[in-house]
Amino acid sequence: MEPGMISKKDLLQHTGISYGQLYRWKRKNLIPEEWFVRKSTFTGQETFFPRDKILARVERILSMKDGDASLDDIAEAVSPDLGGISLTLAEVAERGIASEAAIGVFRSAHPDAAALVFGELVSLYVVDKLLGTGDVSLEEARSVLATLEEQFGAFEGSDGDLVCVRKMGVSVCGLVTSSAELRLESAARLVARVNLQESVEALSARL
Amino acid sequence: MAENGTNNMKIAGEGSVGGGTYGNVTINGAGRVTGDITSDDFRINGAGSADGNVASLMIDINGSGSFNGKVETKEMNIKGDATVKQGLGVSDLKVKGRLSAGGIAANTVDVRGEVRVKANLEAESLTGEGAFHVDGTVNVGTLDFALHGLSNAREICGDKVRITLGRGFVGASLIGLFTDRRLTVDTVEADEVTLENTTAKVVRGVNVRIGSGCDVALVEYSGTIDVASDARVGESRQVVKA
Repeated sequence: MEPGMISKKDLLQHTGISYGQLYRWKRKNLIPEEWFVRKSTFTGQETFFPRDKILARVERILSMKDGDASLDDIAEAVSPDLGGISLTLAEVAERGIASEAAIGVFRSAHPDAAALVFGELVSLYVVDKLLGTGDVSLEEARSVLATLEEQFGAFEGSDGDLVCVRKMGVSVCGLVTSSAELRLESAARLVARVNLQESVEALSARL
Repeated sequence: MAENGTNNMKIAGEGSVGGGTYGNVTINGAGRVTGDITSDDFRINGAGSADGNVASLMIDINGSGSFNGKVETKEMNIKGDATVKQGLGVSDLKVKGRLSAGGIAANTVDVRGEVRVKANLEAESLTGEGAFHVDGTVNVGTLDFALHGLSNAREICGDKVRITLGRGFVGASLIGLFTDRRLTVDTVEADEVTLENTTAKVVRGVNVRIGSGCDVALVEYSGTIDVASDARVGESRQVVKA
């Protein structure tokens, strides 16, 4: 079995949840379809999940259920409908969504922007995260922002990762589906890989 | 129910109409809607088709209906034959006759006849008798289905799954005369599983009953198991529940 994956059987044993619960949560979109990864094994087909993600999600659902939240409330919390939200750059700074440096990158790309809608906030949040860890330079942050703005829509409804690759000082960034495995030539280095769905969730927790 | 106004539209005889927002849409005879439509009540008596997406509080089909786009509705009643090429999102779905859809997400589904789904069928409750053909996964809270023909699915999973051999319903003699009554499925996974006349590779559950006429390669259960004397089970193992 691949590292980082957990089989369905192990997941149920580990968390103590039932088939009924697991599939009910899937029907309610509490667990995204992409996390159900079917693989052939010697006993036939088995389903695997990204281990850290599914364990964190199950724990979150169970703890919210303990607080008497309905499944619909939990669905709202894990995949909130934030389409209507709009913040000004001042509010972004005030709420600590992004640092001055990240806001500066955004400003240089959109000098006239007054308010940011959710998609732009996510892009900004990812840029800020990358700058914060020091993984990317300001110049690279600009291309990350541009890539996210151009390509984010293509991943609507499914899970994607932003990847940033550097070879001999030249960097390239792009989006891949989150379950995709990436192999690079030996001279190239994967500088950063950020999951967009997690960023959306982390961001919505701050809004 | 007049959420979309009182702009009613009626086709009597034969005709076509463009899309738009309507109160009640009624097709008596043969009619066609050429664009996206939003309505309170969409009714076909005869033969109707819609080229675009349909969003309606109620959809009633007596005869035949064909939808080329997506369909979203609270309540859908089919008496006859309906085809939804893309996804069907419906709260309560009743089929008497035949329905084929790209995918179905529903709260309750009741089938007397046959349902065919290209992708997945998701419902809190799926009941009925007849046959179902699902190329993807059937994900249900409760499944209670009586077989009157050949049925198949790649995977059935959920809370309670109960498949029985259909007995004595009026159409049964018609369908049942010519075909075997059997469900073929790769995997069944649910907490409570009861099966009859089912061929499966793997059945996993807490409490599992493998009834008469079943042929299952592997059963994994964590609670109880019951195998009928005329069922074939290749291997059964008890697994430890955490």
